[in-house]
Amino acid sequence: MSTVEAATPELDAELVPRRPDIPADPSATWPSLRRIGVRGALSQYLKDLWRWRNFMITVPLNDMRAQNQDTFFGQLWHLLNPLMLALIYYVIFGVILGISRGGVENYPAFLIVGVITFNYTRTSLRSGARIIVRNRKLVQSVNFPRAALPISALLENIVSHVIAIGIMWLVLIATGISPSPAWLLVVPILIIQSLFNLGLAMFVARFAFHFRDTQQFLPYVLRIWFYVSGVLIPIEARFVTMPSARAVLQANPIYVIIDVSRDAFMYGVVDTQQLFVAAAWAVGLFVGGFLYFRRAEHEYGLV
Amino acid sequence: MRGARTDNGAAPSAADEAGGTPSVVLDHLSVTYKVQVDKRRELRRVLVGNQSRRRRLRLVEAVQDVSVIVYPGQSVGVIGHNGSGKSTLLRTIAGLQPPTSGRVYAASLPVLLGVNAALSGDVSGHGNVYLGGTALGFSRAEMSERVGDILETAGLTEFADMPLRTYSSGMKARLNFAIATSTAPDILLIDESLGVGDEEFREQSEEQIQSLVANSGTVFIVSHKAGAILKMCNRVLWLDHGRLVADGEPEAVVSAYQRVMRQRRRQRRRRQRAARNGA
Repeated sequence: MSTVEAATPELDAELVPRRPDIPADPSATWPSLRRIGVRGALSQYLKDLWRWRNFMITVPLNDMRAQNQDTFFGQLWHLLNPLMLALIYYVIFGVILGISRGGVENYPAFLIVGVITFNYTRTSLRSGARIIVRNRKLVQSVNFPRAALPISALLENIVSHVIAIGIMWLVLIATGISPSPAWLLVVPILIIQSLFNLGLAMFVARFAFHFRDTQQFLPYVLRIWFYVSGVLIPIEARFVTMPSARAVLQANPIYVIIDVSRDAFMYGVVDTQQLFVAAAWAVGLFVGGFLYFRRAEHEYGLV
Repeated sequence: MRGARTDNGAAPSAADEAGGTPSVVLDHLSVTYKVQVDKRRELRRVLVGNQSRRRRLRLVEAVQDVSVIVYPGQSVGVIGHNGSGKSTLLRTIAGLQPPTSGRVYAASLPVLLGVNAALSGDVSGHGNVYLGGTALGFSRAEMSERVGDILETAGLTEFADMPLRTYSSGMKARLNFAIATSTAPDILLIDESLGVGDEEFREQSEEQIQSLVANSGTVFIVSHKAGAILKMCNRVLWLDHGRLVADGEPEAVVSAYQRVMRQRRRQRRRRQRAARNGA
């Protein structure tokens, strides 16, 4: 870029742009004008999200339809995956290491509830971390409330999780558990965990947008989280002897959700207090994640 | 300078027109990219400290202090050399990218003709109309009313059930254009996409743009094709290295632009020759 080229070309006077008189507040002078490219009011954002609700549904609908077209197993693998995992864990921890002999009754049931519940949060987090980069072109060319992306990804995850819950129930019945009224808790638990996952997904979506490395180290975080969430081994005095460590592990929100689910589905018990703890986590994380995500709303086009 | 520009029914000299409520106001708009030579912002660099990061930043002033008022019924061509900031200007008007300084005001949300980014190759043309329409904020019900028309306009009725990945690039361009214009945006932003597609599509899209402008819509067209700009625009902005250097009648601006570009080419060739001879 030489100075010759950068020089302002000499033009007829009438082509040289005159500086227009722009009032200090254009939307006061012309009420129909609204400012573009800045964060507006939260209420407007929520209104926009509501307007884009059809988009949030259409995207996962098409995704699922497209997957169905390809292979029969394509869709089925989503479900086989947690089942296979549960089976592997059962063989290693239940049969070989003999956790069940240590006093966990009905270990297969214990395991499947943990694995399937944890798996829902894991898939949500992973799709959250990818969401902005994966939709780079879309974000660069179409203006819509960006929170629609993590929400639509979550809707897709909900569908496969609901099917997984159905399979989980079949396994529970196969292990000799009979359905109880407490199984109705599936609805509040699903809502709580979905809010929780959405908040996490939105948080990690923005974080991964700033730091692309997130996608690389997220699997390790998830792995550690999996091990400390009491999916494989109950967080009880027999297994975790240090009381302080036990308290920390039991405060883990995923553990709380898994614990509530086990109580409800395995033992037919409604643990109201734990349910409230889980709900508080979910609401807190959802609000925090949503606000955090929205703060960078107009930057996502720069991916 | 005021040639017979009535063939498209637009005002002969829109640039001089004042008064009334503008549809787009750009107030001292600047967009500066911080381009990291290494592109990715790695956690390591943040942890290690800012110094190593700052050294890799390069500032690109894509748009520099552009102030323009545009009125309904204007179709504004934006011309300039490669990298002059045309596309950045358009994306900033669309709200897809925040200005570094300055402000953008618009009477309604400007729609960039780029809905193809929302479309999916595995989905049929029919399904993609819903995908594209809902991405623009319309409901499935609203799209149901239009889907027939859109496919018809795009000339794709007989291919409606085929997945988009089997479409040619011209067919995709037609679908993209038909979806975006079916929603009748008041402010439409077009970035170089009219070059694709056949003669029929070109004529059809030109007609649609003209009718949009005639219905007091506003159109911005970025193009390298002087012909397209002259045919469809009643005002032309010329960006040069991010600065607005000319604003006015299409013929006058385009011919000045072409003249300066020719001059620069000649100068460059002369410099190259001088460099060769000197060496």
